[in-house]
Formats: sequence, structure tokens, C-alpha cells
Amino acid sequence: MGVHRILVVFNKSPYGSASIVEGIRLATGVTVADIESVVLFMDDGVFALMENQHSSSLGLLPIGGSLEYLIDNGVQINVLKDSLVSRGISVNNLLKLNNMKIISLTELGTLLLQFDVIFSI
Amino acid sequence: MVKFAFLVCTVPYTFQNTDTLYDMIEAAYELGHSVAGVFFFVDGVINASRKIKVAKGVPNLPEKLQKMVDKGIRVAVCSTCSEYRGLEEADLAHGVDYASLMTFGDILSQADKLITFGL
Repeated sequence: MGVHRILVVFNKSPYGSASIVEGIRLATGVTVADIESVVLFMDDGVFALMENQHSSSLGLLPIGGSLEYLIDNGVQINVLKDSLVSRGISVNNLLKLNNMKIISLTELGTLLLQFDVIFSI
Repeated sequence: MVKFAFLVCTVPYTFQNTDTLYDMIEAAYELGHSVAGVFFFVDGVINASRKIKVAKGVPNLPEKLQKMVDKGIRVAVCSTCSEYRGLEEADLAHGVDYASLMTFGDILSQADKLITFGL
């Protein structure tokens, strides 16, 4: 009994809402309770992974700093390739992060089967 | 029988989610299920404010929250999200925990299913 593995899905762009920052906090926070946490960036969520973000004009820190929390907590980062392609984003334009894996739709199907809980905020 | 956990990220009265939450919990208990806990996150922390004044003709959500707490259901808010929104521990309804995401993890680890009311 109990939830042991969760997948947090990020499908909204950064900065326009608190969704990604709070989702990262949630994904890392639950690991303290011995829950394995994995994240997936898809749809507009992939914009959060682009390098050269300059968010200081918004009074916000770049999202990359929050992503480091995921890595520090051993959270696997998955990125849906189709979302990158449809937005004209090359893998070369993404932040260079450890634990980051570009996955296909087929691999996404396999990934989804591995979790007790899948959700986005 | 299933043990549910709930994550609520929206404010009361703007969205119907909080009403649905309480209805679902009531229905779950009627069917013999149970609840591991309710965690109010992001804007959802406003649900736990003791300062909500209920107008005539709208659902009394604070009363429903209190009934849930009195029933022994674990209810917690994210303290960081609360601070961002000017909600202090003293502002919370009776019996609601001013907690961290570790509490959410703890609730999750005791649940079979998570139901999320997201942003």
C-alpha cells in the first residue's frame, strides 16, 4: 500500500504562472518522505529547459536554478522530443543538465506505466 | 477499500474544486473508503484561512472544512505557499497543520490514490 513513485508533468511555460517552480518544489519535497520522483517536460513546459533565459526583468531568478534542485535530489528529468520538434527547439538549445533524457512518444507510453501517481499542477 | 489523498491548488469560491473535494470525501466515506489526508498547495492554501466570511446563498466551505477536520482527516497547508500569500499559522482554521512538502510526501506514502485539483 502507499504511493512510492510519482511522475510530475510540466506542460505549461515558465514565468507566466507559478506552475513549474511549485511543481519542482513538490517533486523534490516528496523525496524526503522516501518517494521516488520523476519529472516530464512536455508541450509548452519544454520552454523551461531552454538555455540563455534572462528573467531578471521579471524580478525572477532563471528557472535553471530550480532545475538544479531536481538534479541534487536525484530526480530523473524526461523531455518529450515531439514537443521540442513542434516548437522548433533543438536539443542544442537546451540547458545542459545531468539526469536529462529526451524521449519519444513510444518511450513516453512505457514511462507512464511505471508510476503509482501521475499529475501536473 | 481505497485510501485517498487529495492535493488542492485552487482558491475557494473562484473555482468549484473545493466544493467537489468535500463532496468526494463525503461520498468516499459513505462507500467505506478512507482519506489519508488533504494537502492545500499554491493558491489552495487560502481554503484553510479562518478569516473567510461566508455570504448568504453560497456554500459554507469553512464549515465543511471544519467537519472534515473534526472527522479526524489530516489536513495540512504548504507553509511556504502560505507565507507568499500572507497567511500565517495563526490565520489557519482549527486543526489544520502549517506544514512542509514532506508532510505531503507522508500523506502520499499512506495513500492508494491521489486526486489532484490543479492550477
